[in-house]
Amino acid sequence: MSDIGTEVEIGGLRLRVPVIGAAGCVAFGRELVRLGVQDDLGAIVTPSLTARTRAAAHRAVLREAPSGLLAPTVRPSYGVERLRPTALPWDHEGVPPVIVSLAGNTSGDFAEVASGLRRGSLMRRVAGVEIQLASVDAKNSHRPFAYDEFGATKVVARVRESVPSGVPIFAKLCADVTDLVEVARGCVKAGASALVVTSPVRGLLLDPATLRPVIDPASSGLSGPALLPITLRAVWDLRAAVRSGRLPPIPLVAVGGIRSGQDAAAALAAGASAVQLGTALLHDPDAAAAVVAGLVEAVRERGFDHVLDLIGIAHDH
Amino acid sequence: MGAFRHHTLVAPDIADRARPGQMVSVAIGGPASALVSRRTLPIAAASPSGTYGGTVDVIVDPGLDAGMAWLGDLRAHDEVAMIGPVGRAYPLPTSGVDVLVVGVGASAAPVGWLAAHLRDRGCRVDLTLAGPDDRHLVGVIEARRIAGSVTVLTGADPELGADLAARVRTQLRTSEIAVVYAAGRARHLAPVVEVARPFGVVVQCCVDEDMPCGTGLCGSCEIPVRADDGMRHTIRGCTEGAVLRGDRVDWAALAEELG
Repeated sequence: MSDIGTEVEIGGLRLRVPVIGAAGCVAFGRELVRLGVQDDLGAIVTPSLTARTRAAAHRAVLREAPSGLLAPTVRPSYGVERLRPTALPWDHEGVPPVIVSLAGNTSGDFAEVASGLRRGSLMRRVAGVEIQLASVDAKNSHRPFAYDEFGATKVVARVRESVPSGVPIFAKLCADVTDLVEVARGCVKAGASALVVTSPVRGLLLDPATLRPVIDPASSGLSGPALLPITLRAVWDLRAAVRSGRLPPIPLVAVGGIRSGQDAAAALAAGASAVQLGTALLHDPDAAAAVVAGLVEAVRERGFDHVLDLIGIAHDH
Repeated sequence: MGAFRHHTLVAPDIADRARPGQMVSVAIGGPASALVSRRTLPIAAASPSGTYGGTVDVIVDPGLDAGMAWLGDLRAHDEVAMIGPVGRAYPLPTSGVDVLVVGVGASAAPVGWLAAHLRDRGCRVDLTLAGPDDRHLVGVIEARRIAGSVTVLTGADPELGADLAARVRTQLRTSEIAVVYAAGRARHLAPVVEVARPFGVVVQCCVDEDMPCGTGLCGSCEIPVRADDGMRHTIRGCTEGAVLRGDRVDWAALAEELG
């Protein structure tokens, strides 16, 4: 891989490789260190932090679906007030940059988490923040913020106010919305540095014995390989919108169903600057190394010398 | 063996370090598998020096789900991706005391191995194996070679947990048992911990519930526990369990979360 460049920059954040550990699938990074796989990731995203610790009534039980996992999108979360710097992996040698995921039920909640990070002087070490726009808006019938431009915009704007200007903001969107480009445009205008698609999509599984939902349908999302075409389509649509001028230029991060170098190459070709791995790491904690190796191979096969050369080429005729 | 399959897997690094109560996390299918979560299985035995190098044994219940059926169908020389040993082992007493070892269904995989360790430390071991029927019991014949007495209980849920608890109560009343070692699902362990409480006997429980990654990454096997200061918090069953002191676990909350 030595002769192929892998470094990318997203909203000012430099990544050694364009592969990021997704929120909720790499814990706080300590396990990666123990498994010895931290070097294979360009950055990691923490589990979502909320303003106050939220012990959800039910633990985050995962259910296997065909080529995917169904999980509650409302999960027990770590409150920023109880987060000790020691809970984060920054003391360990060689841990990649840490992107902190923020969640909440009002735009004020998000601002509070961001301010909490500043107060705890944790922000010094934060390489970026990712906003979970799939969180539900308590003031709007519990619709996720990501479902419309207004909801997404107000959260991104509040977080932008609370986060130092040098810290990039990743807005994590949902692909299963009516007009993704409109929501994305709102996020860019409000100050997002990059867009991440997609959060888990709405899904439902019924228990075969009781014929009742296995996870509360109000907040159950599907992730895993089944999502790959949805992720690629969302990235494609956003990239196409940038090309046509409907969306200001902004880096994209693909997440959902990526588990091989070929998948990552496809995501870059569709327009992403980096990919996140979630379920793939649960199936195989070593997956990141294989994804990077496969991506480098895909770059080499096409006669390129840098992963940047792949970005958006699917749109070229 | 009955409804279960017993696999011996060559894994020298795991076999060298594994102790009773620890587990292995196994990927289901290859890199393109449609079954994306892993299965975390208690280790039934480990032999650091076998003909083919160190091996670990696991017990698979193919009737449990599609992933376990895949594992059950593995044949000699097939390869699986495996991580281990995972989690905390059973703490062993420093001196020879009387102990009771209890295991339910396929979760009872480690009890024979554990009983052998306890016997080697001079403990007198009574063993109780339980399951829905004769085909869902692990290692009864081997157990008779190791333990001073072996009791077998069969019955359907939810009565099985209560029957098991009644049996444990009788044994605690009639003998000088210092520690109970248990392996099973939460629904079977909770009643055992409850009956041991008035006797002041600690139950070391191997809580065998779903652990979708077995590496601590997903956080979906969290178990509510109470610390020394009475504060409730959660720990991850795979990396911080699966062996826990029964009196520390909030069984009611766990049962509610498991649904």
